[in-house]
Amino acid sequence: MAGSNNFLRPPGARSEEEFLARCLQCGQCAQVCIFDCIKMRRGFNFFMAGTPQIDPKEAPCYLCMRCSAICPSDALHDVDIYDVRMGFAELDRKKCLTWKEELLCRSCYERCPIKWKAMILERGEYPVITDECAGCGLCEHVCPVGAIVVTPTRFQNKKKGSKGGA
Amino acid sequence: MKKANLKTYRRAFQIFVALAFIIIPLLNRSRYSMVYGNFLSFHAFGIPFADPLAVLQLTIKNWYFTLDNFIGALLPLLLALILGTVFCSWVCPYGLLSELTQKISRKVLPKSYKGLPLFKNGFPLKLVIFVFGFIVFFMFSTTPILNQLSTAAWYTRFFQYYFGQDFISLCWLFLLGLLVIEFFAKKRLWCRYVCPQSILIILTKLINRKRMQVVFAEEKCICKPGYERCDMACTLSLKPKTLTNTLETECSNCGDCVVACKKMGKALSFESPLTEALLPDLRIARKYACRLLAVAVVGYLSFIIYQQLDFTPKAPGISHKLLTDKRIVLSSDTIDNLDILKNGSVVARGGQWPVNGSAGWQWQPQEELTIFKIIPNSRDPESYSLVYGNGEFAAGSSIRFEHNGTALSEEFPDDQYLITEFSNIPKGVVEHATVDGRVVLYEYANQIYVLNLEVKDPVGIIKKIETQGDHIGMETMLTNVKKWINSPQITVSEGAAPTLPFSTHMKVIFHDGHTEEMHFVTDAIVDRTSEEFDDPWF
Repeated sequence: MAGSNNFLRPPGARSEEEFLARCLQCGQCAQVCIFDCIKMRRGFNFFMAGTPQIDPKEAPCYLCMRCSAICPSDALHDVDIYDVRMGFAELDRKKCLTWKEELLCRSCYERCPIKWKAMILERGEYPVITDECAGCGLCEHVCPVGAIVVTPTRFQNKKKGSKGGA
Repeated sequence: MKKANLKTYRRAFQIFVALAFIIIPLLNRSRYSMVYGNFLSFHAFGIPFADPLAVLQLTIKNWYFTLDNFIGALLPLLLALILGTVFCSWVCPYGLLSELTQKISRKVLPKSYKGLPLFKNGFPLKLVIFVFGFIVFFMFSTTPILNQLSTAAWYTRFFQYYFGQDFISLCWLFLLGLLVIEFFAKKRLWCRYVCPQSILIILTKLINRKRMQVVFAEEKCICKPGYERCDMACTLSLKPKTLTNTLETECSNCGDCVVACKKMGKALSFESPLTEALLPDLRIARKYACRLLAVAVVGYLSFIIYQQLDFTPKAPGISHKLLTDKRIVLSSDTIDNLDILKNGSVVARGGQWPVNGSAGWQWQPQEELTIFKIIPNSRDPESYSLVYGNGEFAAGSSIRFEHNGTALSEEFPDDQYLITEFSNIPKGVVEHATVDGRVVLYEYANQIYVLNLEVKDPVGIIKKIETQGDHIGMETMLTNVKKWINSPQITVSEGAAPTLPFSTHMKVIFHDGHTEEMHFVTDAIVDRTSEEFDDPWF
């Protein structure tokens, strides 16, 4: 939300430092987003106000990659969806219905845009998130018990010139 | 009637721009994305525009460079090179607000009050502020923070926030505060003394000595000293007669003084040596330029309209001009109205409805125009009912139902209903009015009765489904890409048949926040006694 620092950048965003240096705060990515998941950041922080953010609990990213295609200053890099690293989803096995063996849920697996790469089913039943996860937050959004939480990777790679936050 | 002069055109264009940036976020919200952006960067039909200062900040600090930004920044600079800083007087929405404030301030405040005493030349102060701001940016920040000083961007951003995410940004307080200060100072403080965005276009225009500018012919001037029309007209409170080096840099070529002087002596006029040198006969050139532009605009617009139009053939069988997207209101206890939709489905409402089967009804036109067929269950096309219109479908005439299935004939006796209203369905109602759902009670071997809830969702627009009703506890509806089903299985009873009927209520919540409720009455048992009960989940 407005005050929280735990938000994602749109897909294809460069490392946070480079992203902020490139972002013109024009809000075009929010205007072309057909799922209304990209919001312009609010608040009085002059370095951040107007930059795009995604809150997967409200509306997740569907990896349609429209925003990165139109970004005029290349703050959002036009990358393949398999190279997107917006965040990293973590599954709490103590909450997950399938891991608790209450029922066979598969909500997250069925919705995952990169299924069988980012999310695999161990022994054909139990969901496991791999390193290929793009961090779009769809699984966090659909999970009926809130067992999945996406952690943003914004601050993990500060190297300049890194491509697409990969 | 007053003849349209330069000032009328200018004001019209300013208002057009100011309104356009209110409408653009609204259009984007309804998924029209040919025009988007704000004053920092803007795309119209694929043509980029960008704030030169914002691009400069990216380029200078880290050598980030994109073609899109380069072209975008070049266009306003080219305009400034030839015509001067017309951006400030023709486009900028803050300029419009500031000008209007200035006009009101001059009328309301007493004439003896000359306004805030400030030095005459604003440009040096502006330059100092700009250089200071740029040094601060260069030393302490990688983010283009000078963008936050752009009043035009804040104006557009307010509407982006408001229409895009229903959030009232506090920047309107900032803009209003500035306008109030300018009102009491009786001067356009921000535009003349601060605005960092205008520095680059001013510097660009200074490169070209033959740019368009206002010139003064002293022998023609007939105004009394102290009562100059041009001084009164100039909202920037410059003195158009004495526009020399430093003052001329601030002039935004709005042309108000030229218009005012036309009534007096025509001493002030625009002069643009470069354009005249390039186009010797301006009138002919203008004529052809206008024609060329008109052809280009019409051609481009028709191309876009052609692209937007959908020429794919319509699905056969559903085109029935008289009935499509119509609402039939009946004088009946059971049904109040029937909505006949273009996508082939029928929604019954009112009275005892919606009851079992209202969701997922289909309709088909017949050969005769006065008959159509309703198929309540797409999985069982054998049971249908025919609707006969007694004469045409119109208010005042009657319709008759004839049922061929077994399930329906008990609910409806064959009888006639009077049509009280026959109208088009209001737009917006149609969009999500057709969730295809069903509730079925199966009887398996060993007298196990299992309730099955199912909602189709082929596109993935449903976010969540809440269930409620008889025999239903804490069921979770789970998605299986194409449809939502309940989990775990609901076993209603074992050993003996349950007492019928019982009702089920589903609340469907869509991703866009829209909700829809469905109510089902289960009064029949589907026989599956030949099969063993096998729970697919376990």
